[in-house]
Amino acid sequence: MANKIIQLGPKDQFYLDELGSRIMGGGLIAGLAALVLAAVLGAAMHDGWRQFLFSYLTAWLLFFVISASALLFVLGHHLFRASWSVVVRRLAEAMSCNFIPLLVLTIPLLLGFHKIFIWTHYHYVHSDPNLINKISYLNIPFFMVRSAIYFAVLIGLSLYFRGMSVAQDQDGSVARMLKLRQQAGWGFLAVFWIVNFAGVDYIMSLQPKWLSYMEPGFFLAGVGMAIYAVLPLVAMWLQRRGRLTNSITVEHYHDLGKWLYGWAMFWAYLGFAQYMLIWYANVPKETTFFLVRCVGPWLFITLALLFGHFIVPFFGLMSRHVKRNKALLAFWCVWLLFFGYLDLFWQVQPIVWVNTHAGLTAIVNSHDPYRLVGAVEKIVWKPLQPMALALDVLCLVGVGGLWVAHTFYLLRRSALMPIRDPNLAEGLALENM
Amino acid sequence: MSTAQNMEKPMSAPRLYGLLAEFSDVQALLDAAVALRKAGYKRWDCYTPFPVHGMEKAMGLRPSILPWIAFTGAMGGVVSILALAPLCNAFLYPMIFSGKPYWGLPGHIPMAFALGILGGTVFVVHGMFVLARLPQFYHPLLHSERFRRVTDDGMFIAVEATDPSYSPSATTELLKKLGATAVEEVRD
Repeated sequence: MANKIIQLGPKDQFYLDELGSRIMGGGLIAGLAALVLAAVLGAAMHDGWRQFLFSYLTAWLLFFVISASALLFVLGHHLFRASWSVVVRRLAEAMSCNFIPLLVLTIPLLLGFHKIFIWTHYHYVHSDPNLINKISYLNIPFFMVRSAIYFAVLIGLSLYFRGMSVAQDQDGSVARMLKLRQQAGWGFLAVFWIVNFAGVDYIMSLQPKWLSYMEPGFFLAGVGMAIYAVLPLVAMWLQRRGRLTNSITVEHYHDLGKWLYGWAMFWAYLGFAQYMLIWYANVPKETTFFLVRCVGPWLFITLALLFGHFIVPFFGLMSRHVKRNKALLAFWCVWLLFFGYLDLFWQVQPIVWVNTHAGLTAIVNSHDPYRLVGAVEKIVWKPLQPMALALDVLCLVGVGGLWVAHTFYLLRRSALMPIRDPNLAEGLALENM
Repeated sequence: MSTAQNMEKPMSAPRLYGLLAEFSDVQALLDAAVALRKAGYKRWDCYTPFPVHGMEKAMGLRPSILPWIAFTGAMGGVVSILALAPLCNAFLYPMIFSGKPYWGLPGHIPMAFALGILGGTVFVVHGMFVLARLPQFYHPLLHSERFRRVTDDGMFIAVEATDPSYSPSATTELLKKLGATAVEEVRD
């Protein structure tokens, strides 16, 4: 509106103050306690170390996904010169700066590297000509170099973009914004490719014989969605605590909801594209992925994803009235966040025990993939047993608690909004037609 | 049709369409829209060179039913192909394609997707045309010389003479009071 004068409102609270310290402390304690508990539980279980590693990997991936998603959000904001997203950008910036803690949190994964990634087993790889051909990509030194590059770029970009934005709070310099816009182009492309390759390295290589060109994109679709499920929840929570109450309006929630809906549908599009191509070609080295996930209980999880991540939200989140209703939007954010986790769970966990000696003998000795079903059925139940699920929850709380602690550590150190961003006035006045 | 009849009867006086009021800026237009709605006017509209935020609220416009029309079209497309494909492939002419079952649902989903988009877009475009009464090659307001500026910088409110609250003098008074820079009668 041309003549509308923007009032930030003297009552609006841009700082977390002691609330930030409290959440930080709570997250830190809960996270460490949960991780210790998980380690104890894993040690007490029979061969629990293996289950712990995969539970931990799933939880770690969820927060890797949310952080990468936040970074793509920030980069996209600058790349498209957006103004609507200014009001929530600082929250995304803080979430995107979690790659250093995430790097530290890879220690258990590095310790259990040999157990997680079966392509590190010499005899396994050399038992299959297809895998021998993959050695040039799937070997430990190259894997580590790749991961180092991912993390160097992700850490560098996230710190640079947040640092410039926080510095702008002091000097209000337009030059900073222009500089960020300049760097956003290559940054966006770099993160896009990093996410694709991370999908291959951290998820697809768990089943090194599996071939699918769709999987990296499928992982990317999950990454794209995560931040739009998290941001509205964080914003609503902050507003309930009296922060940013006059700044974030129903119009911003509406736009976040649109993106959430769009990415959830894109996830379904790529997920189905992957399934249909594999279904049509019916080649064993492709179908193994779905074979394991259509056995016993995993068929229900596959169907739960189809309905929970696509069909139900397709109708439930379609209407603008739903996206403009805070309570309903919050419900769908929690819902899709849960199914986003289930998506990772579904990609990582069915093969926990398939890659063990019992599972491998069944796979290696079989030339008929359908004969796998009987042998595999017994071991696919294991990741769904109460103790394994308890480990999943504990790892989720553990990694999540530390992630939240670090996010609030950063949020506490600056304003909750880029208060001197040149686009702020336009962003505050956002109205959907 | 009515134009042709008018041309045959050139002696009859042109029908009064209503009052056209020009406003100087967006805010005045929005305020006037709120006041007109509160005064109980029903048959009137605002004309601007660009979309104005908050106008639907100021005018009290209800949400369009167009989304429901689009939804119906899209769902119609999806349902029809999910019925037609198995009907042909599994019942009327059972045939095996590349070793897939007669009723291979995954193979029908791309068609359902395409038909869903086709149905949605066809219904939304045609629904928009019907709801907006398009195509409309003629409008009484085009007689006004002043109204030409609506595609440049003119902001207008037109109150139709068929409105129950319409009265030539009182409505003119009201529009002028609301800040109209000019009010004129438009005849068909």
